[in-house]
Parts: sequence; C-alpha cells; structure tokens
Amino acid sequence: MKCRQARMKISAYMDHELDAASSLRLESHLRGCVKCREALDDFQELDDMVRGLPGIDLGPDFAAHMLKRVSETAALGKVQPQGRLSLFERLSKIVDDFVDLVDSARSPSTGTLDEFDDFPPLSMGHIYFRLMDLPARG
Amino acid sequence: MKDPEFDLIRAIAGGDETAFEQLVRRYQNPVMTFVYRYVGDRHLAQDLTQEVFLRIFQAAPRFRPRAKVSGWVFKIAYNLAVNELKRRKHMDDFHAEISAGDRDVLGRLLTNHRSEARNMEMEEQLTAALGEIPENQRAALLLRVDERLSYAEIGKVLDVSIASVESLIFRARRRLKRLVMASPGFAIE
Repeated sequence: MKCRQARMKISAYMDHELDAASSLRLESHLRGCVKCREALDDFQELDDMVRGLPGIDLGPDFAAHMLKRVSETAALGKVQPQGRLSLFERLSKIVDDFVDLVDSARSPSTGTLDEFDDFPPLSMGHIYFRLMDLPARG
Repeated sequence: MKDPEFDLIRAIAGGDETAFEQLVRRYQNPVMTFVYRYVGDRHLAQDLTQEVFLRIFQAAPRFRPRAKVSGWVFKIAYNLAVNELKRRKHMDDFHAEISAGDRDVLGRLLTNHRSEARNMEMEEQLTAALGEIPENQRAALLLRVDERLSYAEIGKVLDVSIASVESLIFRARRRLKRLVMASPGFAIE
C-alpha cells in the first residue's frame, strides 16, 4: 500500500469501518511509515478536540417547556401524533373529502374550472376537473 | 436486535407525556449541540431544537422499529437544519452576507462566540473552522465524532451511501486539519 492510498483509508480505519483485509494492509503500512502514523495521530487528536468542545445545556426546564408546547399546540389542533388512522377514521376522511367536493361543486368557482363551465354541476366531467383543480386551490 | 428506546417512541405514539418528557431529556442537549454546530447560530439552533421535538411527537406513530431511535432523531434534526439553511440562503441579506467570502463567515462565527463570552480561543477557532467545512461534510463528521453513529446510520440520516459517508468524513477531517493548522496560535501537537 502506498502513502496516498493509506491516507485515504486512515479516517475509516479509526472509525472501525474498514474491512479486516484492508485494516491489516493499512496497519502493515503504518508500522513502516512515520508520516502516515502522524496523519493518523492528527486525525485522532482533531476528533478529541471536536468531542471536547463544550456541548450546549438547555437546562432542566426544557423538557417541561416542550411538554407545555406540545399540549398547547395539540389543543389548537396543530400537533397530534399522526400516522396510524383507524379504518373508521380513514372512511370518515373519505366521506368528509367527498362532502367537501360536493359542497365545492355547489359554490361559485373562481379557479381554472371556469374554463370548463360547460359541464353541468355534479357531472363526471365537472367532478374530474374539480379534482384536478384541488392542488391549485390548496 | 430491537432498539430499547423503541418502547419510548411507541409510548409517545400512544400519547404518553411522561415518555415524551423522558425522550426530550435524553436528546435535548445532543440535538441542540449538533444543530448549533451545524447552523452556527445559537438562537436559530434553539428554535430548531424545539421544532425537532414537536416533529418527533407528531411523527412517533410512523417510526419503524427497524430504524435506530437516535438515527431517526438526528435525521429529523438534520432535515430541519438543512431546510432552514436553504431557506436562509434564498434571502437577499443572507446572499449579501455570504458573498463576502468564507473569511467573513469565520469572522462572524468568531464574533458570535466572543460576544457570548466563550473563554477558550482555541475552542472559538475550532468551532469557526467547523463552520467553514461544507455542510454535508460537517454533518457527517459531527454525527460520527459526537454521536458515534456508524457509517450506515449516518448514511440513513444524510440519505447517502456508506461509501459517500466515508468520503465525506475523510474530506471533513482533512479540511478541518488544514483550517486549524492555518489558524494563528493553533497547532496540533
């Protein structure tokens, strides 16, 4: 192994991320190369210095503050655990979306749908273009 | 092997406030420190850290047991920090600020730290040097050195391959070494 290759592998070696064969080749090179050993020492010292930088302590009240924020925002309906909707919740959402769609068909539109106002309200064509219009209205 | 902290996330998903408080206590300082070193602004880091925990509370039901909790937490923190830096880079005043070059970034970081009465000049210089490393390299290095995540875990956080993580960390160390050695009064012994 040449110095150039060794230097590129030193970083992964010190992180224990090098495979066994590559580690053995690098260790063999390091035994005979002072410059590469110095490069390894430098990297290790840099890591120690970075690790030694003082961390930021948010204090013992931060967790209670976060709990309060979560409660407040949950009360406003902004933050709630999301992800696992029950079958009933999913069906309700579909029904709600459909009701919104029908309601919107009854109200005057000012969006791109106006260009297709030859479709009668609640016809398939009207519903299709209403659906296509949804992202633009969001 | 299942991450023991998964039970904590499952409890949060069920609305357990004590579990949420426990998770916040466990991660508040590591997340704040990581975000601060990544964005270089203490107030912004504090706002983002709060946002991280709000997102965690919201996203807990979607956590997959195969993932490691620490990696998931730092992925949320990283994504928020990246997006915020991107948003700021689009602002005109920030454009003007960075157009003056890297040395101004270094100077700003040093000034910030001095104004907060940081006591060690070497700490300031090292922090400033970290601020000069490209963002993705900085994130990879901090996740490795401070949080001791594996390359595979870092890859999941940054959404890159393990080979890319290896390259990012190597380049970060090489760049950091050059920067600190060029700083006045600073030498690796």
